[in-house]
Amino acid sequence: MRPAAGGAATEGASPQGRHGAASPAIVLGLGLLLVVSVLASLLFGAVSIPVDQVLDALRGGSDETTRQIVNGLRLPRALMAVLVGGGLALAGATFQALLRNPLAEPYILGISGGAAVGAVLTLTLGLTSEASWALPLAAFAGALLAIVLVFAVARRAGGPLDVRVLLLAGVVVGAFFSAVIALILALSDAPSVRSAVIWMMGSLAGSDWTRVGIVALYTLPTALVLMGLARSLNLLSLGEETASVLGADVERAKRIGFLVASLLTAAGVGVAGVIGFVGLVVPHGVRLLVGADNRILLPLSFLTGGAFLAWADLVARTVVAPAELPIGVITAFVGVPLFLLLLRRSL
Amino acid sequence: MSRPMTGPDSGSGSADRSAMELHAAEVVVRYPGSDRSALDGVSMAVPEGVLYAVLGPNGAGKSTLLRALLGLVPTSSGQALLGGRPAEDWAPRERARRVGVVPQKEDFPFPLTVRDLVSMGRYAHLGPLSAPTAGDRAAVADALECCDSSALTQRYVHTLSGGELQRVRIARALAQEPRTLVLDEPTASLDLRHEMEILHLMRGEADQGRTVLYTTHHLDLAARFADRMVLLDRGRVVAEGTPDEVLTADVVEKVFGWPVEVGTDPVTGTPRVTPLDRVRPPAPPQGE
Repeated sequence: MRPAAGGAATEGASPQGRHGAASPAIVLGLGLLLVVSVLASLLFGAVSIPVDQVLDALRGGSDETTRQIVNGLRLPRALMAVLVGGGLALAGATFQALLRNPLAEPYILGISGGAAVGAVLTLTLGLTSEASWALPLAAFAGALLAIVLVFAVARRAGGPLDVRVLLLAGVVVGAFFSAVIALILALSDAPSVRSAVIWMMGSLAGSDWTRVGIVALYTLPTALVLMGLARSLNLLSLGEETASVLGADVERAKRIGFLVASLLTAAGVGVAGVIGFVGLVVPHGVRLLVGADNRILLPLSFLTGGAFLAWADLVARTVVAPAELPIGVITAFVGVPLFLLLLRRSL
Repeated sequence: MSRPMTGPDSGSGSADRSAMELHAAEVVVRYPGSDRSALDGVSMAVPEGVLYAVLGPNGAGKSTLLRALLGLVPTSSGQALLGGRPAEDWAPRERARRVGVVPQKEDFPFPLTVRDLVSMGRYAHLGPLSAPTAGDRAAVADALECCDSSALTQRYVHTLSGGELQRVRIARALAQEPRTLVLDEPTASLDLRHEMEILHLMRGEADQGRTVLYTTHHLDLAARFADRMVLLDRGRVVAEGTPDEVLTADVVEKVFGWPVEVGTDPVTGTPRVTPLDRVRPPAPPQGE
């Protein structure tokens, strides 16, 4: 049977052989969205700065105060949002492929909670400062503990591939970590409780170039490793045995995927606290645009996650200015309705 | 379409066994937590270029035999050979270039187009960072064409009918350009026309030199299309050989626990199994 003429024409027109001619436009659009998001983050805040002054300041011109606000405060904060948001979205997309479940997400799985325990513990014990390169490693230890616990619970209850079981395991493990954090805080003094609570709800306040450097150090290499895993993740979404017969080294891909995505989550949680639902909202939206091929989904989730968190942060620090909302509140307000929608579809 | 043709003499010069693409020797497989072996000393051999059917009641070990021959499940004793090498020694990537497998079922948690799915058959041919080449895309297009699925390319897999999905999954296996095809119940729950299409497709692949191994419950159609077959019962081989040799009334009756008569189909001239009503005293009970 010959393909229909239209089908043949589409095949010829699309060099990547994917979703017709839409893909390059979508990639360009999402890239542009990221640039606009960062720019908006530089323009708006407690004081608005006109765009020409912002551009001047970025080039080292304008006045001292403007330079200080743009280059010293807003730019590192915007880049932090991009790195953390991109990392969380990429980690979410990876967990979804590994677990074959569009509801998997570092926050819902309790992995962010585990990372928070690791970070809170080392902070209250005074082992590391908030701007230390070791904080993400402490968070990583907590994240790994969370994964081990989630899988132990899920396996007992009928297998991690069952949506209900996995969510239940995430909830149970998350509740456990909340209790651990409550315990730690109960034993801490009052000022550190308030700052820890705010930190846990997620905030990019206090982002400086040092912390941006720390997060970049963890985020960029891990992001590249995960993107390199895209083909194996595509195969894994068909099931482990099918992935294996199509040529994937299943055990290796799972090991690398879980470890590296946890480290990526931990890096974000370590510097910005617990920010939920980015890993759920962003990959879902991107998947609607470009399909489920991880070779495209993963990099675009990173771009879009960065843009999403930049906007969330902009909202968080402007709606009740000069005070700030925790950024996790904003992402949850967007994420929870979507989560419920997805849950209805998968049960 | 260019196919890797396997000449009958490609394994010449060595022992008989090396001409066997798939070979099980006294294979025992025991799943953890099970008190009986899923395979209990199974020996069989699939020669190159042959269409080979694995038959047997539910739970006889058909799928397990395929998995053992592919090295997907460890053997507790005996040996499963793929292309003359222990099946468990094959690296997944290497194996995917040798054997195209269509598992019994798979589900799709994410939206996936037919082209996405069939392109996954090429992954084992791609370098870790290299993009698909024109050759890869041609292999995908050829495989789709071969399975009469070119018109489905842009469709999402979850919108396909059972027959369409099965054709597309076979196309994915063909896109691997393998020497051998292994299919687990490829025609289960398909209607007559779709079942015949798949069987003709498999027969055609075997006629072009590929080795094709599949499991099925349809004895008559297996007798008609397969060159050779094995009949399993509770993890053991009851009969192996040509359809005429395997499908005798005694054996079929005993294995399936139901009286049958085996005649010759007047149209195809191949064995035809007719289940009888229970007028004769039933065969001794066979398990549950």
